[in-house]
Amino acid sequence: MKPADKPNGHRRLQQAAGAAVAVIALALALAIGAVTSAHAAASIVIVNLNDPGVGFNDPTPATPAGGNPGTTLGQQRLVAFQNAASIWGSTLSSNVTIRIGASFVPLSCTATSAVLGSAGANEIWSDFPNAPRANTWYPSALASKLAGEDVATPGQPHIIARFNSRLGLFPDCLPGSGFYLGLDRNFGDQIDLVTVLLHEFAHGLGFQTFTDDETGQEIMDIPSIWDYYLLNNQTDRTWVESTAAERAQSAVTWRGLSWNGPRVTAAVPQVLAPMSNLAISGDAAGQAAGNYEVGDASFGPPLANPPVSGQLMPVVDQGDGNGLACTPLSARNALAVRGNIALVDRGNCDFVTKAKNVQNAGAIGMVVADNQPGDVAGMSGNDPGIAIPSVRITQANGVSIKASLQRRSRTQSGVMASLGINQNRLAGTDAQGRILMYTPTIYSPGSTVSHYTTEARSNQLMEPSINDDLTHEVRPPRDLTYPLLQDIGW
Amino acid sequence: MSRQKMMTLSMLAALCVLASLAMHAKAAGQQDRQDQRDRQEGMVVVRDPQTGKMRAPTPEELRALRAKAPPSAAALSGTPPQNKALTRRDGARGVRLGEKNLVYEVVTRSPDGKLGSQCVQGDAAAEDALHRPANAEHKEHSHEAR
Repeated sequence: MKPADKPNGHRRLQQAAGAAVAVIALALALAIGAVTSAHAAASIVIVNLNDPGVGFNDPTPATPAGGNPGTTLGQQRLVAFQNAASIWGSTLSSNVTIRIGASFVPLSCTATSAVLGSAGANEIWSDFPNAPRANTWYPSALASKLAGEDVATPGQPHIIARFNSRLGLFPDCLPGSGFYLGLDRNFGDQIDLVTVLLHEFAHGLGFQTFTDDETGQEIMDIPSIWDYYLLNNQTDRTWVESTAAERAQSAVTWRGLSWNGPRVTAAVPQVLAPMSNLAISGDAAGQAAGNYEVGDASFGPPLANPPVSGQLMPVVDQGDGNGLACTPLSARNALAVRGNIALVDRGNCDFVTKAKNVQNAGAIGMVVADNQPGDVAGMSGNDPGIAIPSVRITQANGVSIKASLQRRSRTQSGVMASLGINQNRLAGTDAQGRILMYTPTIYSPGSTVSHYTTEARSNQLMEPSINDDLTHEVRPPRDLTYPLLQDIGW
Repeated sequence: MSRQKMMTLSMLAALCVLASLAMHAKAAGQQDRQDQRDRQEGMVVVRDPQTGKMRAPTPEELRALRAKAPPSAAALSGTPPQNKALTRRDGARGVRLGEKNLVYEVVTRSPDGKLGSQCVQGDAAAEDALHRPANAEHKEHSHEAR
């Protein structure tokens, strides 16, 4: 999980409105049984595909909680679905009712893992009436909005959504970690269904390319509307302008793809926070002087201005000269880091333990050098007792900075470290201020560029992981999901 | 072995063939591949209860086999089959997408009890993700605890 950002205070109105519509919709649902709808700027209908007695029709008694008034498990599931639909319905506009074919069914599970659910566009269409671009795939919900008529095959939903009916309820299906069906985000150790639904519905509405990420192949050699805005920032060509091989390569190039849509780019400064930065300076810094990109920590205070500055002093507690700081620091190391910023190496224990040990020794900040090659990564962990800022740097940068620390006394290095923020660069953006898309360096099955980067701060709904600090907002100033949907035509 | 048992085993063997073909087809993304696999269903064989020899099923036997085959997850959940080309009178072209284009949210619990999620595309990737730690494959982007 990514570090949690401070919750934003003014984000409840839309959520509350959505919940109110959901309640009304529930009453309708109970009256008519199979179909509910949320009327707003766009109408979204949840088409209940479950058989009697299961899924949305599960009669297991449930106690109303978290703003969900349902009194059976099935009703509460339906209310949660309707709540997510209401949020999107009040955000989007369309003259064509959006149909979500939804069901709760048994999906793959183990005792420690589970498929929560899946969703996506049911059909894609090109060259429909009023299509903004010829020979281009649009998801059917968007195609229908743009056409002003329903272009989907009669009887077919625009979006398919299936969720796991066994989650948390059986010993072989992540027991104890079921869906939280409340609407108020007080999910505790549960999984907030509404957040997951907002994410999955967004994919179905068009937050996805239909071009194969792994091979770069387009369906029937037709590009997706998504591909007009997905920019290879190293060649300055969009996916539409690239070959299949170039597309596939860019999907696994670290920070290689940006979103080039005007709505998102305009909203980025409003939504994303400045990037954290480590500045190295001082008489002894030599070639190590400069600014470094860092991984943030989920513990301790976030980096800010004014920065926390001090001499950088390495912890040395290993025979090879490295310092792990997995145990309370020796008197010599404590003397070195007291009032300074401690440089430690990754390994052997969690980051929180290292932070606690250097903090207890009097350090005012911590820099962790990675112990293996790779890109910048963050540090998770939670300890409210950590009061000093911490950052993580790459192994290569660690080697460079350590080289400048060779000549030092027990208490001074002449190398200054400053933990602050880079006012000229926002977290998760490229050099031109466009948000980056998710492009893991190492290919992993199913990894998709249809997500924002995990470097964004604050965390975004459409990152590849559901972070626990997400709100139910989908638009600025909190979130960039809606601007992207606007870019593609919503 | 009684004829009835032999027939049952034959049916089960044929069902396995059907299931195998169905799983194979599930992984395909293109309509032409799907069509090819659909045609391959003709490879189903049954053991003749009279002669004990393998032969092609009669239409009645094939219908019976299909009726006994467990419904696919897609069928159970109302999801579409593989990509299917569509057209409209106004000239619009379309495709009904299959499992490969659905986006799956998978959650895993680490040994320390923390939940991590990952969003992957396609049912095969989802199955793969079930058996990997949430952040193992994305470690350069993730927030690791140690």
